[in-house]
Amino acid sequence: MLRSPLLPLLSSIALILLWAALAYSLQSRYLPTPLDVASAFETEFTSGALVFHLGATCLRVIGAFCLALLLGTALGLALGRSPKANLIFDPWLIFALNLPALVVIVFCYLWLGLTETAAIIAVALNKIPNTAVTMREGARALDPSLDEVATIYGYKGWNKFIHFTLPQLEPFLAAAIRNGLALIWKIVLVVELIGRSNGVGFQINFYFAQFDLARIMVYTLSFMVIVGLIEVFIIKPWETRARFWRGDA
Amino acid sequence: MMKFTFASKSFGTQTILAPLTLKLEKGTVTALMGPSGSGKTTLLKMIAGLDQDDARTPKNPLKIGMMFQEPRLLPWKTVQENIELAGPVRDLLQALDLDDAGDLYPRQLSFGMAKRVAFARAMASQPELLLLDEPFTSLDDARVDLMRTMISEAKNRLNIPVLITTHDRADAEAIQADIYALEGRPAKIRKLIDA
Repeated sequence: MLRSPLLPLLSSIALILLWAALAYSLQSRYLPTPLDVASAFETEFTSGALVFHLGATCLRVIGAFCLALLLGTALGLALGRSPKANLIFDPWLIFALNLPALVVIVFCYLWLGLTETAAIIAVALNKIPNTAVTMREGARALDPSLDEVATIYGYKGWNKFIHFTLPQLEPFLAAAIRNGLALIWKIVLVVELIGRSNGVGFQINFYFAQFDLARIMVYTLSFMVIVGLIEVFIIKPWETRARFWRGDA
Repeated sequence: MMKFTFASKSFGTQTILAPLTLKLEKGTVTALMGPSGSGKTTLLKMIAGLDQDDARTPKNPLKIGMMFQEPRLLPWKTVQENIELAGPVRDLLQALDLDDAGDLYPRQLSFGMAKRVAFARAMASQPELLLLDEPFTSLDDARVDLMRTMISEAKNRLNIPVLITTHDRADAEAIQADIYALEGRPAKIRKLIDA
């Protein structure tokens, strides 16, 4: 019987084989073969273009991700802990959640110009409401009986946050991080496509104009691999450590 | 001697506790008895500064160790770390028959063990006043004896007042406590027995 860790690998290989079979049978310029993509990868990598544009996108993702996580968490905790603040600002949050990402991006570029700051703020603004909603649920789930323990033993402010609050929020934080990463990198590509002169989104737009689907796939797949590596080597180990005490890791 | 004076305490329109004064001597145990819902835990929380009376009497500045009815251990910390939250562990693990439990997580403990850890945590804070809410509940006979011994030792070793709530007079008498009762609605405090 197959061991479970092998299944995802076999499934991925099957997907590549399916792609290869389709591409070789169709022989269409609209579906490059895996070999075409590998060849384009080699060219882009050796020229340094791939690393340069991936780097630019990664920096934007990191900047927007940190900003969104920080502000979204603070906002979510404030709304989760204060019913009055939640009553006042809940309509704002619903409005922000339903605002199309493209509109936020366009307005940021119009108000702040076609700058790096505008790009990062536009991406962060798109993500902050989602993070806030997740963290608001986390704040509502905080155990008030542990608050009393913290009070008895004199834990306040940052010390209380680290020892009592953060461990309770970790499952919500993990969800916010995972969803945030998935959403942010997609929005970053749109931001780059509309208003930046480098990055994966810019390159995809550039090669779209040349109908070069192989290179579009090179940039897309490369960035997906990076996001996958972040998931496997950063998020999953952190989640495992955070859940160790539950005994379900 | 410590003296606590409170105004009445209400929840909504219902007054639970009448104005009261409670005096606690150093090196003695005081047991607070009364039926369920009589306000024992509320009074303990008012003394601990976790709740306020209707006059919003300010919290006393005493260093307090408190064991709640439920152990309230932090599930992401080991037994050792839970105790260290309040202060140095010293010989508390050994004294409470928890020698091998230091590296365990709360989910790996029985309720009785968790309760002893909560007691150790209350002791670790080196308090000026020890508050124990129903310390004997859910313990088997052997552990009840151990808890009685620990309470007596805490009283003698730290020379501090210990205030417990209990619904079992036998427990209060076994630890030679001054016994007070909360009676009526709103509850008034009445001294039943001098130790």
